[in-house]
Amino acid sequence: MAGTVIFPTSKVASESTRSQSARPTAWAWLLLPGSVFLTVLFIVPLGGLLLLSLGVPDWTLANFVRIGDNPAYLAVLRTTLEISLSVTALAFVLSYPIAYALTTGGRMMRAFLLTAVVLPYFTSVLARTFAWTILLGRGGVVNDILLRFGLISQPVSLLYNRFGVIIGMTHIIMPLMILPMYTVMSSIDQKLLRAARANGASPLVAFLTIFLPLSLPGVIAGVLLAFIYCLGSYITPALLGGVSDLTITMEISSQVVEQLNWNFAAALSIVLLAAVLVILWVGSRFFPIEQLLGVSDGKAGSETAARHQIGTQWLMRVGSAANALDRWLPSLGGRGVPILASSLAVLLLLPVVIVAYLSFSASSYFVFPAPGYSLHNYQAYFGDALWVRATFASIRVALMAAAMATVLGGMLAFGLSRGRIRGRGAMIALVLSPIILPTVVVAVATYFVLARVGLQGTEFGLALGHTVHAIPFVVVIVIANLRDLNPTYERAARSLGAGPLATFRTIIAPLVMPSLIVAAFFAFLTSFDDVVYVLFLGIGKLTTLPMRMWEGIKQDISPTISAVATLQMMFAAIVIVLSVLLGRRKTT
Amino acid sequence: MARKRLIEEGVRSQPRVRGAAKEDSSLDDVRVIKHTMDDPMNGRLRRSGFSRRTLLQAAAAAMTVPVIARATNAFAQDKLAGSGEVVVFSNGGSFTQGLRKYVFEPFTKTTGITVVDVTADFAEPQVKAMNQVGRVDWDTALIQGALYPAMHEAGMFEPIDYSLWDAESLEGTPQVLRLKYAVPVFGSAQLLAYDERVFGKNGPTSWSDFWNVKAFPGPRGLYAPVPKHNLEFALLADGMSKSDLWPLSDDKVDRALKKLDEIKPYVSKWWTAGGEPPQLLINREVVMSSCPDGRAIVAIRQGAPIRMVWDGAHVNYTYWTVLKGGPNNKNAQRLIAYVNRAAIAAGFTQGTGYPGPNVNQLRYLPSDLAPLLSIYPENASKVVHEDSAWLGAKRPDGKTNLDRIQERWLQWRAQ
Repeated sequence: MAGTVIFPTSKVASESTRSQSARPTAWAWLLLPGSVFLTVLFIVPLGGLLLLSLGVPDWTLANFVRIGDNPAYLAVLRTTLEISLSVTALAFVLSYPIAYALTTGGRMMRAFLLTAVVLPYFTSVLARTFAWTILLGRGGVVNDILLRFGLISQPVSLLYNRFGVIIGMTHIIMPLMILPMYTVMSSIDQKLLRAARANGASPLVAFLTIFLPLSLPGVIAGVLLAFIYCLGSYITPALLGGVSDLTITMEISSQVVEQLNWNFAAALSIVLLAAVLVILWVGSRFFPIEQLLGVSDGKAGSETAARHQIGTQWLMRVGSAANALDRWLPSLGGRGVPILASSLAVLLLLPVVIVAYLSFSASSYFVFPAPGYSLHNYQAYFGDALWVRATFASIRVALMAAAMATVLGGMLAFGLSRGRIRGRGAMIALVLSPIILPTVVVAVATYFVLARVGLQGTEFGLALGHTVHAIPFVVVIVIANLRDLNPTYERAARSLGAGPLATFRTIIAPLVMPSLIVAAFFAFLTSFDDVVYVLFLGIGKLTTLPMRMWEGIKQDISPTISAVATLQMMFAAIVIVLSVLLGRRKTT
Repeated sequence: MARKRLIEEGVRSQPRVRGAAKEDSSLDDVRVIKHTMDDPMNGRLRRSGFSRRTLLQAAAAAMTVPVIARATNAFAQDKLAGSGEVVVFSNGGSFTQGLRKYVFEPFTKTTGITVVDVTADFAEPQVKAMNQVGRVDWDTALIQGALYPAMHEAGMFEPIDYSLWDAESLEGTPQVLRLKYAVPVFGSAQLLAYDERVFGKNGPTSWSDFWNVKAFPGPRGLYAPVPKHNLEFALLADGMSKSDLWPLSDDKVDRALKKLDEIKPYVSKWWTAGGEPPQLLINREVVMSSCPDGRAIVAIRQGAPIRMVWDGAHVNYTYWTVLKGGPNNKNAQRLIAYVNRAAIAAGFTQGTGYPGPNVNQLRYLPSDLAPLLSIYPENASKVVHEDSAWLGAKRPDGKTNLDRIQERWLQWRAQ
C-alpha cells in the first residue's frame, strides 16, 4: 500500500503537495486541542523558564556568561552528545535486525522477540545495575570466562566507564527504537519484495532498494526518540559510568535540586534545547527528517523532489552493485536474520533473567549466587500497604496520562501530517521540546502552573504533567505510520458513499490502530516510569511505584525492588504474549 | 535501623538460615560460574542470625521507653498537647517508616495531633517552589546545612520556639547547634568503610591509608556528585590537620584536587546513591570506599563484613525548620520540641539509623548500637564538622562557596 509514495511517483506526490499547500485542510482543526493543551502546560512554563534564565526582574545575561566562562559546561554537553550518539548508533545497528525479524517472523518468534525487547524497560535501575555487575563486573561472568580461557591475565574494566554507560543505556532504549520501526515495517507490502525478486533482484537487493527505503520513516522516528531519550537520561550514566561520564542533565538536575540555582539551571536548559534543535535542523538538511515523517513544508517541495530523484538514482546504483556482490556472499538460506535477532534477544534478556533470579534470593542484599531461596522480597512487597498503594496510584496516573496523550497526540499527528499548515517543522520542534528539555526543569515550571489552580498534589495534576511528556512519543510514532496511510483508500470509501465518520471507523482507525497501541504503550510507560515530575507535582503527598523504588535505592539496600521489577516484567510479558497470540487468531 | 525490621529479621532469620543450608549443595553447579564471594559471605550472614537475636533483645528492652512515656502521659496532660494535624516532610523509604513508628505514632498518642507525612527525595526545591508560589502546603521540612543560609535569607522559615522544649532537651543539645530559625534533625557522616574479608583487623585507619595503595592495595570507591567530602579527605591524606580544613579556600581546593589526581586511577567506582557503597563492598567491586554512616550501620547490623573508620569522617547537619505560611505552624513547633526529648531522640536514632543532636539519648540506646554512631564520644572526637554556613555564604561574584567548589569539581571531573 505504501509503495506508490516513495520513488517512482515522488515527483507527482510532491507536486500535489505544492499545489495544495497554500491552504490548510480541514484536518488542521485537529491541531487545536493538543495545541491549547501544550500552550497552557508547556509553552507558558517554558516562557517562565526563559525569563528565569534571564534573571527577571533584573534582566541579565550573567547566567549565560557563566556557562561560557567555564569550559567544563561545554565539555559536559559534548560528553552528553557523544554518549547519546554512540548509544543511538549502537541501538540502531542492533535494533534493525530485530525489528525486521519481528515483521517477517512467525507468531512465536514475535512473542519472544517483543518480550525480550520490552522487558529490560521494566527492571528497576538498581537491580539492573547489579545484574550488570554480575555479568561485567571485576569478578563477573565475562571476566571469568576471559580469564579462564587465558585471553586476559587480570580482570578488565567493563563497567563504571564509557563502555558500561553505552551498554547499559542501549539495553533500555531498544524498545524505543524497535517498536516504531516495527509498526512501519509491518505495513510494508510484501508483494513489492516478491515483485522485485521476480524481476531478478537478489534478496539483498530487494531489501536494499525496496524494504529499507520504505522502512525509513520508522527508522527516523526510532532514532529521533532514542537520541532524545538518551540526552535526558542521568541515572544510568551515574550508576554505570566513570568519573568523567557526566551528562548535562545530571548537572542541570543537581543545579535544580541540590543547589537551588534555578536561574542557572534554566540557562543551561535553554542552551541544551538550542543545541539539540540546531542538531536536528542540520540533520534535516542532510537527512530529510520532516519529509520522511510524512510532513514537508510546501515551499520545500521542488527541492525535495530533486533530492528524491538523486536518491532514486543512487538507490538503483546500490541495487546493481549489491546484485553483483551477492553472487560472492555465502547464503544462509534466509535464516541469518532470525538467528541474529534471536541471539540478540537472548543477550537482552540476560540481565532481566538475573534480576528475576535475585528476587527469589534469601539474602538481604544483592548477592550472586543466591545463598538460598525465599519469597521474602515478595512478602515485603505484598505485606507493605505502602508498596501496594503506590502501585495502584502509579497505574491510575499512567492510565490517565496515556489516555490523554494518545488522544491529543494522535490528533496532533493527523493535523501535522495532513493539515497542510505552514511552519510544520517548527511545530514538530515544539512538540518534541518537552522531552528534549531535562524533565526536572519542565517539572518545576509545570508546578508553578498547577499550583496556581490548586492541582498540585493531585493524581490528575500529575497525569497532566506526564501527558506533556508523553505527547511527543505519541506524535512521532503515529506520524511515522500516517506517512504510509494512502489517502486514496479514504477517497475510495468516500466516493462509495461512506460519511467522514464511517471512513474513519472502517478505513483509518484499523490502519493506524497498531501505531496508536504502541504509542499508548509508550505514553503509559513514560508516566509509569517517572521519578521526577512526581517529586514536584506530587508535593510529597503522592507516592508512586518508581518513587518508592528510588527511595529504596537512596535510603536502603533492600532487594525488595527486584521482586517489584519481576512482578512488573511478568505482567508485561503476559500482556505481550496474549496480545500477539490473540491478535493473530483474529486475522486467521 | 527500624525496630520493626529488626524484629522481622529476627523472626525470619532462623527458618531462612536453615533453608539456605539445605540448598547449599544443590547450588554447586551455579557456584562454578561465580565463586568469589559466597563462602565467607554465607558464613557471615549465618552467624549474624545469632547476633540478630541478641540485638532483638536489646531492641525489646529499648521498646519499653515509649511505653513508660505513654503511661505517665495518661496521668498528666502533656505540655505539648494540642489538636488538628501537622504536615511533616521526611525522605521516604525506611527512614520514614522508622519515623512513623518511633516518633509520629507516639507523638499523636501524647499530644492528640495527627501527623500527615509527606515524602520526597529532597525537600529544598519543593520548599522554595511553594514559597515562591505563596502556597505552602507543609509545616516543617528537613533542610541541608549548606542550603539553609540562602533559604533563611529569603525568609522561608519561622523562628524555632525553644520555650516548648524540656530542660533536659536544651541541656543535651549543644548551644551552638540551636540556631534561631533551625535546629539539627540529625548529623550524617561520610566515612571510610572497608571490606574486612580483605584486610581483617589490620585495615586502613585513616584517609592517609586510603591513599596508600601499596600497603592497602585494591580498587576504591568515592562519592561523585558533590566534592566537599572528597576535598576534605584529600587534605587529611596530604597531612593537613583537622582544624585547618575549613573554610575550603581556593588554595586548599587546588591542593586537594592535586592529591585527588593521585588516587583517581585507583578509584574504580564513583558512586552516586547512598545504597551503593555497602553493595559494592559486599560484591568485592571495591575494597574500601567512602560511605554514608547510616547505610554502613544498617549493613553491619545485618551481618555484612564491613568496618567503619571514624577518623576524619565528614559530618554535616540536616535541619528541622518551620515553614513560614504553613497551615499548622504551632503544631510543627510542638513536634520539634517532642522529637528532641532524649527518649524520643533515641527512638528516632533507632528508627532511622541517624542520630539527632541530643546526647542524653545515649542513655536510652542499646549498648551495641551506640558505639556505631557519630555522637558516641569516642567517634565524635575524631570527626570533622562541615562549615555549612561558609558553604552557603555568598562570594563577591554572587555565587555561593558551594557553587564555587562545585564548579571546580565539575572541571576536575570533565578534564
